[in-house]
Amino acid sequence: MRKHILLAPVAALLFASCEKVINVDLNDAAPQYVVEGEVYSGNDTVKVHVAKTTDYYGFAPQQQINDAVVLLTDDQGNNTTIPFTGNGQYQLPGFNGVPGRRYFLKVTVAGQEFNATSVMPQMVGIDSVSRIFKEADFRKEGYEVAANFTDPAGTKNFYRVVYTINDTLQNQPKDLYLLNDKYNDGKLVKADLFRRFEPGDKIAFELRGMDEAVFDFFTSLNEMLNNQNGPAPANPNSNITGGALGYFGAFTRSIKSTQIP
Amino acid sequence: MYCPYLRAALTQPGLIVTFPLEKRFTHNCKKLTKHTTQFMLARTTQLLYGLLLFPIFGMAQNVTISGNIKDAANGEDLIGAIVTVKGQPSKGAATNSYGFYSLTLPAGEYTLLYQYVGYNTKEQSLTLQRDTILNLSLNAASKDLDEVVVRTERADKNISSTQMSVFKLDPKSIESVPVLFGEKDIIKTLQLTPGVKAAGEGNAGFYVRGGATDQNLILLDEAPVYNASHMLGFFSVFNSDALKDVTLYKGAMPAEYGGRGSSVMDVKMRDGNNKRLSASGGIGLIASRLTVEGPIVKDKGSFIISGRRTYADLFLKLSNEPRLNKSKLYFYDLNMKANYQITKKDRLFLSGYFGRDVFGFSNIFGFDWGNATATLRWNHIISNKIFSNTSVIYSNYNYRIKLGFDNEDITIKSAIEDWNLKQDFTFTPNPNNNIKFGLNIIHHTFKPGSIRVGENSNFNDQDLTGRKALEGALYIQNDMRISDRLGVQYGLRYSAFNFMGGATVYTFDKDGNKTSSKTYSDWESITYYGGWEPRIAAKYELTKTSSVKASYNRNYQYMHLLSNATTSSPTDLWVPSSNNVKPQIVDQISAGYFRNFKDNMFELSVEAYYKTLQNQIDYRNGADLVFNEEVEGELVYGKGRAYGVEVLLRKQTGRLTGWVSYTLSRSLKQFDDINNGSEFPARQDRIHDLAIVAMYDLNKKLKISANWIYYTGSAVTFPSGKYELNGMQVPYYTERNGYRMPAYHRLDLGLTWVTRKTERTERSWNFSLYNAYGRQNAYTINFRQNEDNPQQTEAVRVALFTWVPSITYNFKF
Repeated sequence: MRKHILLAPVAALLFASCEKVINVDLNDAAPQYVVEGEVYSGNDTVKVHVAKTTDYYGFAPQQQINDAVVLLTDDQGNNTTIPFTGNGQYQLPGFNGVPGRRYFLKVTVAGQEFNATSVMPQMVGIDSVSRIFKEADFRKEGYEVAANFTDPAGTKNFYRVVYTINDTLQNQPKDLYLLNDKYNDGKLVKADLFRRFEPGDKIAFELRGMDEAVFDFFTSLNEMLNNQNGPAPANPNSNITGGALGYFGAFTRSIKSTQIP
Repeated sequence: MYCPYLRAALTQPGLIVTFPLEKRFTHNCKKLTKHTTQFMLARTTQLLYGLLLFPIFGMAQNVTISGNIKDAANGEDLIGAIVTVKGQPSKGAATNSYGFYSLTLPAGEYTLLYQYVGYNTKEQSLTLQRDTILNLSLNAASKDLDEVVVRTERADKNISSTQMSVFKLDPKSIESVPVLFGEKDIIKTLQLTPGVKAAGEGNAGFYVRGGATDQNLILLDEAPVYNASHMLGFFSVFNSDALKDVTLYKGAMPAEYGGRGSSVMDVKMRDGNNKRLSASGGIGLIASRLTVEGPIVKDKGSFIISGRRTYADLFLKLSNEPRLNKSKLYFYDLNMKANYQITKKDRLFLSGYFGRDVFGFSNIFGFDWGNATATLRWNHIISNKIFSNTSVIYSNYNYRIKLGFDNEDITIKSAIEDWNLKQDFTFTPNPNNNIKFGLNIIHHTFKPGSIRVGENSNFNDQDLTGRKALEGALYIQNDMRISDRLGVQYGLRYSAFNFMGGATVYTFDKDGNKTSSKTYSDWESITYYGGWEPRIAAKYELTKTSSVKASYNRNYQYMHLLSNATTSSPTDLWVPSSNNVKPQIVDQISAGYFRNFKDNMFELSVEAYYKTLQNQIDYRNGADLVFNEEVEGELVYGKGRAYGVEVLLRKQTGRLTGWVSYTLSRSLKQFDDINNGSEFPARQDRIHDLAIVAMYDLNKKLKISANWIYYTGSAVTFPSGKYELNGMQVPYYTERNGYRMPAYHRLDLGLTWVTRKTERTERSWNFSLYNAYGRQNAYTINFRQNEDNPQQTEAVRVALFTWVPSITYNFKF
């Protein structure tokens, strides 16, 4: 339950708060490695990004790490080196990720080794994308759009819904859309976007399935970015060992889109 | 036939026989048995007294005078009123929570002084030859300035009482303190006293001496209140109109209290006017209040009903928009109490509180939460020295969320419920000892959550496993005067907690992953905890106007509040100690210097404390505390310590009243799983905390008041770097609570204008201005991407209340 969102209107009605950008004196922490690794189901590109943290207010571009050795293996004994493609990126197109398989990532850089593992869950596909016209209430009138899929019964499932609106990827912190089947195991899930669309809008949904550890990374990332009223913000729970920030995930991927007529 | 044994027993060395036994032995063994039995009884009693450190008193015939002390105007019991022998201030007694006093003196002629702060002292000359009952009423001292205020002696309780680390508040005395939205609030006022800090801007949650908000035992007529705040914490559940007396113990808690680590806030409801029917109330910007009280049978019993309701939602009703005018947003409180004197020795009290917040947006979303408490008490005077109170207490807190959308109809519920039986005795054998003992058994039922869905729903019905526990305690304590200067209050409490089935419990590894589960049947014991809680305090009067005091106390806490927000939230979850969660143990030592000036016009206290906290609870990163069957796996455990110095200068009489409060303190925590195991400041760690509260009577009709508050910003976690991930700018955090919020300060102003005042009626206007110079105090500081340029990151300060005016009209007739 996203209670802070639920309670927000109460606060808004009662108290008009006042926001201002201020200058807070912050320490500059020693730069830390960040690894972001993704393997997808089907014929897709393996993407790994290696970089270092910068000062919070720093305008200098992030320091990219271009001399890492990136190795992807799986529980079937397959062994693949992911080649460097420039600007901290290591990518391998045409890689066939298999649901049910466990993948291992090893990144070696300047004598340090970072390891992570992730299991690619069974595929859950989007059944349909629905759109329903709604009259104006506290929001303006328009179409509500949702991706519908069926959660497999009896297993714990973890999802992220990534979406584009008119071909623009929605990748701000507020767009993090995470779901699990805690309340609706085995049911039809309607993942709707909490906004209204107009005729002509094009919306594409991508449903990503992941294992619990990767989901834990994203929920703690979401908590940190979107609920800064929590007791104490902390770095998201990484599944990488060796002291790097970031995550390595093996995702299933299902894409469907719609255009409002 | 017992004679030889008696003889042997009586000739034991160490037993001094004070009458010619041998002679009696030879005469009549039967008679002897009678005599020796009496003697043995006397001896045993003496030994028992000796054991309790009683001074042995002479054989002169003692008589006991006892009775009730009430307010003459409305028959309310006066708590803590003092009865002393004129000229012998060390011989005295104080009334207990029910206005009952008992004073044992050698037979003779006396002049007794009956005193209570703010009331005219009454002198009573009488000859005491046998046990006497004397019920008395005191008149409130007139506040009219042209009259001479008669007060023969002032209360010097600050100096003479053994109790330290306490702040007592009469809701009447804070009527003119300026407050947010004009809603006078005892908790907000207590936050202006040393050692007590608000959990956030305008928040009814509070920290006492570095403890967490769940370490405060909040009692309303003995019933624990689990969530003491309304409307996201901006209001407390206490409607001042219904309250008689509030006492906050920050340390040196008497042994009769237990169950929370850091403080006890004991709130007593008024009994109602037993002389005549009367009504009072107020109309404010946010809420209105109405209180009706009167006798059930004159001088024998009375009732009071007091209600308060906010009406922000009434403005919504004016809207033409159907979804808006069907929306709800309000809270209300209802306090009720009745008492009846059945016989001269028996009195019954029934009190209840019911309060709820209701929020609903059309029929799409509904959310309501609240407390209900009920207390049934029976006061019985067993003898003029022994007073008994038996209470049956019920307490409930619950919330309910209703969601309706797309043919879904979902209800989520959560509750905690207590049944509590309490038996307390007060035994006053003589003026130098006041003994309290008793026991307490609580049955807790935790219903952490259930979900119910409609037919053909896309969600499932679900229930989290319930939790049950029995909590018990036994205590004894004595408040003893050893000499005119030295007093000791010592006590011992044994508390126990039995976590029991029916429940399914889990074990977790060090990373919080479930390793096993086991199901227990109803009433089957799962985990038992128990411990001794010593409480001791001593006072030594240096002079008639100064004293030093010291104390030590240990408190066990078996219930814990899980909250993933800094401010109180209705969905915060109370959990019992269990196989995973150990009871919190708090030890505190404190010492203080107390001095009164100018005939007790000014009271000064300086106290220092050091406190250690064991088995403290914190959360794993990204902990999921909402509707989580395995919530205990999200917890990590550590310890804490807190220390500080508190200074309070208070002026209770004269045209200018108020206080200056300053606290210098630290509160630190250490968890193996947080901050790499290094000690870090707790969120409530605010080094300097200053409050000035002043009320001034300009004339009979006008009273002005002002508060000024300053404190060091809370310890917070800010980023020390950032990185890019999935196209987002993500802050990088290093140490926990390594930064500070900006310092907080504000000035509040108030004006009370009494338009009419007679003996029975009163009308007044109250104007207040909160944060008068409009300082933008940071409520939170958020770190986020710039909306226009996501590559750029910025710090954004959110300020809530910059000058909030309010107006309230109060009446009484």
